[in-house]
Amino acid sequence: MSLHALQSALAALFTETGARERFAGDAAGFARAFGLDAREREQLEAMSAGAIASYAATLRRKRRAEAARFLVRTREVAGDEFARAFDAWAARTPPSPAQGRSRAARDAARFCAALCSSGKLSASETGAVRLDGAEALAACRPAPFRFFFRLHRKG
Amino acid sequence: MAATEPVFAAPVAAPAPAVAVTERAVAAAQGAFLGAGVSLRREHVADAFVAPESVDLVEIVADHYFARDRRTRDALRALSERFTVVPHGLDLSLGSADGIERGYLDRLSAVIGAVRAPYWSEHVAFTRAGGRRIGHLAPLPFTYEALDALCANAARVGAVVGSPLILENIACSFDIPYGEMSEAQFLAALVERSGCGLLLDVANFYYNALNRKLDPFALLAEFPLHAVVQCHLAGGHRAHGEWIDSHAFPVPEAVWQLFEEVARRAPLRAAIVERDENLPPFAELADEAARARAILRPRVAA
Repeated sequence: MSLHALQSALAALFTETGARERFAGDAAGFARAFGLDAREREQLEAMSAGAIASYAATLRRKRRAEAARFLVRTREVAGDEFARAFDAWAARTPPSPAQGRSRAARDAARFCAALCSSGKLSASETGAVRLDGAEALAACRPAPFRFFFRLHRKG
Repeated sequence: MAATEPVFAAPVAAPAPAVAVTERAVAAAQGAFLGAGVSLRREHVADAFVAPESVDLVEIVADHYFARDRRTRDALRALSERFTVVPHGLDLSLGSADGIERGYLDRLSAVIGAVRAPYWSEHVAFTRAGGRRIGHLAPLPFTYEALDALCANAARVGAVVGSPLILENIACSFDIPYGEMSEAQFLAALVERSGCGLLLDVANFYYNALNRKLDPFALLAEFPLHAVVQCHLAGGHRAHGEWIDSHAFPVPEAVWQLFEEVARRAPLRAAIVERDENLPPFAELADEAARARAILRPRVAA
């Protein structure tokens, strides 16, 4: 039960900007809210807010790298702003509960939807980003290897 | 506390684990030598099928093959007919106090069975807790309670999956404070209690040491190398004063040197070159796999 409480608190800190802000403002209160015992509260309070923020940023960067594979057009549209825009979106949007590649694909699709509704894109840019989003959802499964299966079987 | 500069816990001068460590032999180390290969990404599948002789084995991310359709079954069959395939799981959350998700485990088990894997791998980490999905690997506290949870989950998994499990060290720039043992002691106790082998990600190990300002070669002396069955080889980068295990660059010389030391002392069956970002042409990864094979070969000859 105790490890469960500590991991729940860490999961919130690693994925939610609001949780990190609450932790930075009142680490002891944050720990109490998760029902941590005295020892775990000490463990959590001893953690540097900077280290937690840095780890959360690493997780966002990995999340961005996975989603970016589905977002070729969107990266072109956003240009140098892509990383900043994705990270800002990811900071306020927890990861999708989907498993496997579906999670990255759904992240990509949700990011596309958010970008389209931001009102910052032209009509043609919106079309390109929407297409990425639609293809991301369609690409949840492994790429078709059928040609290579045939090649392999004939060989 | 400076917000931009992470503060790391000092290395723990911990008591020996309650588990007596005896260099227990692990099941995954008992099979044949497999060689060197790559972690196969979707973008490289075509090239791998055209030049299958360039690798001895491939690792696949099991989570990418969870769809229960004919296309996925065909893909797994084709891969297993052409290559020795080692599945690598990402989201089992073996260190989670919440236990294992049975649906995820069943899908993972189906992939492992479909490719007739000699063994498979997951991480010493948790990826979900309290109803939240973290989306990536989060560090465990090196405590007996975490060790209990990990071993219990590994035992549950072992009852479902026929193939042996090996467990990988993760990259993280800090430790959860007040651990009851060092990472090396934690892993040694894990091997002793669970019978699982280890997958040493040499890049993760190297960057963890650098971020803690520790000597990686000195740390390696404490690592339970007797249980290391496979290595991951990759390159990261430095950003904002911190080393990142981005797996986005060629394997650096320091990681090769550490790998040579591991190859001398561990019962390695395989080494896998892993690239997650900035994917180069397949041939470049195959060249790195060839270098790993050359390092492993003297061990096999002996």
